[in-house]
Amino acid sequence: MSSRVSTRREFLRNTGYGVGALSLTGGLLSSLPAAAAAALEDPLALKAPHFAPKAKSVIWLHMAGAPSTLDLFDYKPELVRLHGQPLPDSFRKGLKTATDGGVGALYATKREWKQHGDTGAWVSDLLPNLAGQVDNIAFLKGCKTEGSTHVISSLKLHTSGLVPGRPALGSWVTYGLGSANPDLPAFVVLPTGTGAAGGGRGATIWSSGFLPATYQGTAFRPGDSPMLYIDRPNVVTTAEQRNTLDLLKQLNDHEAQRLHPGDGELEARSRSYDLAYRMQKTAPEAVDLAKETTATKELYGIVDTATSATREYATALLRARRLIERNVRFIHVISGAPDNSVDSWDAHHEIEKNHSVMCRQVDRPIAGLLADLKARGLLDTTLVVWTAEFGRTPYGQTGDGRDHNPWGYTTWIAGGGIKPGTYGATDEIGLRAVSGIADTYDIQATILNQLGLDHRKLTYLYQGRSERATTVYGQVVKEIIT
Amino acid sequence: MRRAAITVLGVFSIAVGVAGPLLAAGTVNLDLSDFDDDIMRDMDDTMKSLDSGIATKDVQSVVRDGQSIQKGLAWAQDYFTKKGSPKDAVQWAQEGQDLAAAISKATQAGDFDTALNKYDSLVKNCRACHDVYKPPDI
Repeated sequence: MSSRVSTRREFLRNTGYGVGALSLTGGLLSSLPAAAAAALEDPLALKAPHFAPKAKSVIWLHMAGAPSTLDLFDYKPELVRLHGQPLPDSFRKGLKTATDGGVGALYATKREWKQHGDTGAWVSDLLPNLAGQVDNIAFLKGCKTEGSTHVISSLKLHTSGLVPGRPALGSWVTYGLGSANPDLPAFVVLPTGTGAAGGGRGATIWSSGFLPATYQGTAFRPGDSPMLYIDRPNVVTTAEQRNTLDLLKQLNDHEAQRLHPGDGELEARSRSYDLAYRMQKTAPEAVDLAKETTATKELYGIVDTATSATREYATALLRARRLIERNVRFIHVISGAPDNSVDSWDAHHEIEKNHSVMCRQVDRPIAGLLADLKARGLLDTTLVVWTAEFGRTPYGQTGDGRDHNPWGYTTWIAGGGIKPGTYGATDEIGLRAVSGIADTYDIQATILNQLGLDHRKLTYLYQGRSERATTVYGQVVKEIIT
Repeated sequence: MRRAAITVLGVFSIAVGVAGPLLAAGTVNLDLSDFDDDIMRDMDDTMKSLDSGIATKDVQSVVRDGQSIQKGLAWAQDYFTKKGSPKDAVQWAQEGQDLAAAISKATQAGDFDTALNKYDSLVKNCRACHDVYKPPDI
């Protein structure tokens, strides 16, 4: 039994080529049944990219619930001028605009606006700290997507599918590049806060879908022990635990080879036991902020009691930086509400109150993260992506809120070979994208490109069909690449 | 079959933001209620199969799917021509056929990189037309 395992490993070692890389280029393994290919390779082994990468890792900041980028980045004087008037026909033609609560009168932002930095990017007074970082950021103001519900659009944002079952981008990245740290998950999820965000922040957005289960995201909890049941029980010695796991692995390998060859679920389970054992030491250390200086914590907004609303989110972002330092590939931070005063960014009513709370929570931590990454020389190789499932409408809802807007909104990306500046635009009132249009497929293609992966050639054979992260779509947004 | 009537604005061509023929300025009313959406759904699925065929270098499959796409787009071209549609719709349908043919040709010659590039152009072509003539499904 063990000799078979050894033989398999020897085969992989002696063949001396990147088996995984071949699977990425539509070569040998991609023409094999997926199960057979999975059995041949270590699914988390380091794999060569398609071309030289600009970035090594991604921190994906998902603003679950969908902020109004019209109140944060997309300044529209014309919307201010038209405040209170019905949505003009010239703007709404061809759009099915009644998504949730009908179409109210145009609703101007109440924020104060300024241009910032050398790039002159517009940022409202809701994000005073982030405004100081605009020269590191590429704002894509012509973003669009499909769907008008959080669940559907969150799925599309993360998996390129409108129904569950497709892999998240983090899973594709892990599949494409492997793990750069065998002692930590390559794809970590850091959910924060409370609220459901309309159901758009569930585990399906970090699922591995039809990719082997070993590529799924691993959710970390707040606190000293980031994963449930990671700690060794006091009544079990280290030697006992090691012996138990060795026996379990032997039995699983035996079953896998005898009854379930190529069973990705079983292989993933078996690997997870090994990884969990190693993570008993590595995971708590990775998220332990004890060795971080007071200055660093203050930078993120962790220790200032006056801004305690930032504590949980700031802690997650500082953990994200520590995970980046430990070569974790993809860190998916999901924002929730800091307290029960709001549910999430989903401001169908009381947008002023909602965005005050939510912006206060994320502004200083995100600005701190960018500054910290830059100071440590990590921003050059780390992509920081700020996005949501859609934006919000320029017309009002319930008197003081905004509805969902999949037709035009802002996403921004920093670091990892991205050129700062403002690209694309929405129309004069911010209803729909009119130039530099970037769909979620294009954002994904661009991120993969920066990681050295050609989204057209990162494929996986599933049910007889070659699948890719961006489905049949996706164009790299070349204008924002250095 | 979806029954829908949409109004197409000349300014939509600005929103498309991709290379392609521009619509004439002004409003064009176009009744698409007799458009056969089933053909488009079949083509959508065939496009996925075509992508897969190129990735797996399955020449036979690519040629078969390419012919299906050409046939579907020929129907669309005929439909838009009879409707007296703006030239862009007819032209996009013709260009799509040309690209599908080019994909088959490149694949048969063993040039899969060219096939993939032509496929990208075909996807852009599809999206450009859909952005104008297919209202967003919300």
